[in-house]
Amino acid sequence: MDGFLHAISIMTDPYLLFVILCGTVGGVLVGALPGLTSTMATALLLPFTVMMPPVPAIALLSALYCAGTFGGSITAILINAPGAPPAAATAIDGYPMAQRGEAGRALGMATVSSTIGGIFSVIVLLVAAPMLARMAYSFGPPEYFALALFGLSMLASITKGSAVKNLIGGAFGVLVATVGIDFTTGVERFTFGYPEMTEGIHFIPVMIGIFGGAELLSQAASLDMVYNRVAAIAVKLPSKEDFKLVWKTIVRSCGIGTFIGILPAEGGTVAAMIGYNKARRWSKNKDEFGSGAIEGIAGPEAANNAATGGAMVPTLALGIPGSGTTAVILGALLVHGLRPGPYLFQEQPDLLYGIFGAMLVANILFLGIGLVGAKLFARITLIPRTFLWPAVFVLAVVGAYSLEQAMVDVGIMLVFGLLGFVLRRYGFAPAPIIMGIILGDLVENTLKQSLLLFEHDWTMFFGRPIAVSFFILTFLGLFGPFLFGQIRKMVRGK
Amino acid sequence: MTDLQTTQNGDGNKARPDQGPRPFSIHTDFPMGIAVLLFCAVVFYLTTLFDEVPSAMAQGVPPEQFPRLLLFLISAFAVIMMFQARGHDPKKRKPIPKVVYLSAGLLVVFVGIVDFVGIIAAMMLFCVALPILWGERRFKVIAIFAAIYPVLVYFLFSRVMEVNFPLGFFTEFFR
Repeated sequence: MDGFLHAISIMTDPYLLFVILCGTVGGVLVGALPGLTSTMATALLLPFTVMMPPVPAIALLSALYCAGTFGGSITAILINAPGAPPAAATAIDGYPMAQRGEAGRALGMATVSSTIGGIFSVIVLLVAAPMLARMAYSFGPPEYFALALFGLSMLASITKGSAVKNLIGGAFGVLVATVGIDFTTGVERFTFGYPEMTEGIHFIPVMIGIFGGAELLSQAASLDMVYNRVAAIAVKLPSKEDFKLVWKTIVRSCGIGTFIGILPAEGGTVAAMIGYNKARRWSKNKDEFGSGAIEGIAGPEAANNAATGGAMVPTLALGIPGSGTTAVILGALLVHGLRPGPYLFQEQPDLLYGIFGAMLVANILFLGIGLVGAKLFARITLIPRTFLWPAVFVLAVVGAYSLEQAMVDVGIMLVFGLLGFVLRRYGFAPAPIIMGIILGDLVENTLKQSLLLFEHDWTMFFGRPIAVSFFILTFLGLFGPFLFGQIRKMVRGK
Repeated sequence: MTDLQTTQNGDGNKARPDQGPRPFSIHTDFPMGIAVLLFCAVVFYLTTLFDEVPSAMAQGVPPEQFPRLLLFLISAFAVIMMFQARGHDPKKRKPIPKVVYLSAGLLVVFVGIVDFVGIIAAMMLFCVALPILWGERRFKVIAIFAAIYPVLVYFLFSRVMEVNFPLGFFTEFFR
């Protein structure tokens, strides 16, 4: 309760409120634009935040994250093109509803269930993150290594791309993180004699390139795509009947979304898909799903917004990103010289309560924005792609340059943009690469510290119960689906 | 009715257990896997070129060991990826339109000319060239966009955020 009150008191700062409002409006806008995701927007915005004090900077990104997740539902419902991947499941029932003249009802349900999911997860974040952080006090390098390994293993189960491709992407990201001077021996690795490379490849140009540059080329490949737009009418608050129909779905999805969000590397997209499938599974009106069921909107929308708060739990408490966007937010914390983990809670309570407060306020703000302004925000999709994407790329170049004021970073951004397009075309998702780069240093440094601690006897890892627990979870994360599938086959065979 | 599930190989390709793999058709994961293995071989070679570790630092893990461990993992995953692709139809991909190659070329040119013409001129040229390449024919709108947007971005970053941009040969010449 103290934490909650502290978060509210921090929110009385008008500057902070203004920043959160900007983040929320910006988030809904980028979320509504097909192709522009909250992950890309936070990556593009990150260089702007470098000049800001840490609390407003991270609050801005957090608000954008929450609102961006919601914003995707507007275009999912009105033009059948999810503005952001977490809204993909919303389009399945949202668009048919809009086609039959119920766009206002669908948007109203999306707004309200998103808000409920978001607020629920912020409350969980407020309670769970400090608890998890307290647990992490007892973590040493072996535990952090095992935890980071577990985080990377979870890449196998994120839905975008195949499991093995996600793991290749994650390992490639960790490899990219090895560029520069090796901290234990002082030897240069993969620097090719360039002094700018000795400090390693900074993840911000990589993120901007892999999300912004690659997306621009994807947009170029689909210039002939035409959206069938359904005219937006006034957004309606859900009726009593609708609430009766969906309240169980919302409650279930809040739990699912928050839990999935807390799992490292998973995020809103996975949560929304599970939320949708569970809503359908437990519904009395299963046959209506796919042709405009209101529960088919409430389920994924509550879940994907509940995942936002959930994903911040491991990010803040352990330094392990819970989703693609929280990986960028983690990067922002590092840029501001803050190392997430238990000591952050002790040393920077204002920052943490600022984040809680920002997410809470953002959720309340987008309730208002969604109900009043969805019709207006839907018009953002009328911006021609022929102007939008040049504008985005100009920002990408300037953003990549401005961090270190070095053209080599722009080159890195471009290389990763082109590489990201090719990889995406062959089924490799960009998020695992980013996760790998962010976690790379942690994995390598803690492994080396552990081996020094154990005098190079790696079997001593098994004398650390917490590390062993994470290794077991890693094993289950990697091989669980295969093993359980085999067991299921054997049971059915009998 | 729609249920969201991921397919076995993640590409949306269905296995053809009853028919077996189509003759003379190679799943794209095969050449991709070979490319990944080649990449690993090249990077492994690069790890052999690392400098010698100073003797005072030699008690730690050698600098090449961790990258090699990762290369081994990536190679193993690549082999699994190729193995998983057996018996799956090659995905019918639309060929990459010419405009994508031209756009990629334009991005390279944009970044390449910044040092020469300066950031503002490079941004302006890019804001003219890409919309035209993508089929925009409202030239007045393009001109207004290319004249205003780069200047706004430049001033935001250079004045508010105090970023020093490369002014380029031309701008320096006129100064």
